[in-house]
Amino acid sequence: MPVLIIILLGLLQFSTGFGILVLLKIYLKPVVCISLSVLIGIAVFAIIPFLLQLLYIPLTSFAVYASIVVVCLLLNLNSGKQVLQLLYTFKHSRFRIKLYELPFLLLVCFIVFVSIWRCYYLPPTPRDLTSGPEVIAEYAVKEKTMINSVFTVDLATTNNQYKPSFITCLQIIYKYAGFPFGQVWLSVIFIFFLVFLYHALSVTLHKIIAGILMIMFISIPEMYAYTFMVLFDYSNSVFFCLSLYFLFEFFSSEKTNYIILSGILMAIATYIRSETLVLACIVYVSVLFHYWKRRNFLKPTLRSGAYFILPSLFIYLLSIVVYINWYLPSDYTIETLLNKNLLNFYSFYQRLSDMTGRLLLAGDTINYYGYFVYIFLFILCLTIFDRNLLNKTALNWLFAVFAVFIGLPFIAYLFPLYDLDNSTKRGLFKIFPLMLLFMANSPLLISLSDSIKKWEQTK
Amino acid sequence: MKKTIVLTFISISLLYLFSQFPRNQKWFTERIVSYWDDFNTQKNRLSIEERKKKRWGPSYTVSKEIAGFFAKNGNMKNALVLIPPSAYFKERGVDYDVPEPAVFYYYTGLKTTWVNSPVASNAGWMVIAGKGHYQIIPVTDKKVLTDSINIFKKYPLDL
Repeated sequence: MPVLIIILLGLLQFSTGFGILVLLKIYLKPVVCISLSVLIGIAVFAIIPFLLQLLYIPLTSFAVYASIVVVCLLLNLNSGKQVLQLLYTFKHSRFRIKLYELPFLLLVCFIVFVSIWRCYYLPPTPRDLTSGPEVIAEYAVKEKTMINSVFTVDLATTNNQYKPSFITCLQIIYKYAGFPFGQVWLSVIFIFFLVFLYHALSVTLHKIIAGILMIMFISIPEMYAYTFMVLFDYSNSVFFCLSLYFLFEFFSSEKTNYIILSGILMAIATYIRSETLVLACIVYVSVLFHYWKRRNFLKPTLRSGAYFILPSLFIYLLSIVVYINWYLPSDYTIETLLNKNLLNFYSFYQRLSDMTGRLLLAGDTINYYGYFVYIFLFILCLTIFDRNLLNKTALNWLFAVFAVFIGLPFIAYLFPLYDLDNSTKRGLFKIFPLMLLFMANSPLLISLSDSIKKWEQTK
Repeated sequence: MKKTIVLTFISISLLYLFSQFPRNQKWFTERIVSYWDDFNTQKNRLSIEERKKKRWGPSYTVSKEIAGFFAKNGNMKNALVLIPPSAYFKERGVDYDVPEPAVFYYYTGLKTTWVNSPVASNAGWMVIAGKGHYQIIPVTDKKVLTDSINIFKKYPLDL
């Protein structure tokens, strides 16, 4: 029965996300289309109970599911033709797995299964969850509102009730669906993000290289742990990476709908963790670079900026300023968390140094993140010493890695509560998919892949 | 076909090489293999309560016992219970990692408070411990409550 419910919810999520892709006129290969649709669908689900709450509509199971179905139908008013097209493509596409992909795929499936089981079986553990989004979701199901009796409890020890409602909403939906601990939506995000990444790697790399890179990525110890322990950072890193993927697609295709999608995905990442807005602003520098040498620099830069930043800004205002500052029955303003001494940059350098020395290059690097950072650096150095010119996409991904590298200490400088051992450690999850996609576009691995493909095809 | 077999051999070799790195080996043994072993026992133990007890340990079971006392007496909704820090219980031989009030409420539906809170002085009940057991007592005298809070404050609070 739980499997059936997951499939039904998955279909609903797929339809919702697919509707958005069709509205944006973004047509992708079937596998990418399906994985991206499900991921976007989950994000839309996570907004619906939040909007119902803002409108003071009781969060009954009927209200929640009826709203989901209505939103799904409204988004798919014009999708009929595209659904048929997708089915046709599926019918006529040759889905083949080569023998040499199997060792990687089997291992990935095994590792993923273990994660799914733990996600389903074990109740939520992280304190940040049980003292905030989870307890609110639990009582929202009982009391039909997110402003529930939890706010009458002594909350002197925590500020987790002021976290964005992304997790709370998904927990409500999945608890209503019959999962007492909710959570399994995280497994759906995990699976479809892996599918998306594997496809993204396979576009440029030979399947053997894509396979081993996937194994390296999935076995980042700390990141793997958060594929079954629900918190904000894993989902945040997924949508942040997807946003950049479509931003860089926009750079190469110049299709406006790609940057709109990128902006929407960045808004989702901001909804999950509000400080992502800071990273979005840093990433926006790449848009400036993109238009730098154009004759008409200002107009497209501002227009792209609006597409890329405004959705995030809007969701920030809605989920933080409106919901947390004004709507919740407590006095809590984000501004009070800001660094009071912004002219002193010492904390920025200190955090940059601690993050690099203790998390990324030495200290606990191997313990937390395995060898992934070293492999990335190895590929980067080899690429540079090999005098291979980095292509534009690789440069973009490298810039994205740099944006997170600089951005996290900058967030810590702005918000001193953003500590090293928890927030920064998990914030670094955002850097790994970017490193992976840099490697997927590194000229060294591409040329190695081409050689293998050539050898494979010669008789 | 020959080339496919060669490439398959390379795939397996790459995985073998990857598994030889000490951290990867440790992660796979301590996490994946161990979690797989857990799965083999967990798949036959699906009761929700059992899963909670297993995951949250005494923090959950003792909290449920405390809440059970109030549920039995029918004053679960109105009670506010002062719970001393974990270190206090540990010193008295009680294995109880005290959950903060929000988590306690999540576990049980009972409202509690900690000694550092401004509402601690409103508690109508408190939990005290001695020689390996704990006791739930009503607050009948505000002075006793204030004195108890001052005693409990000597113990470090741990989230």
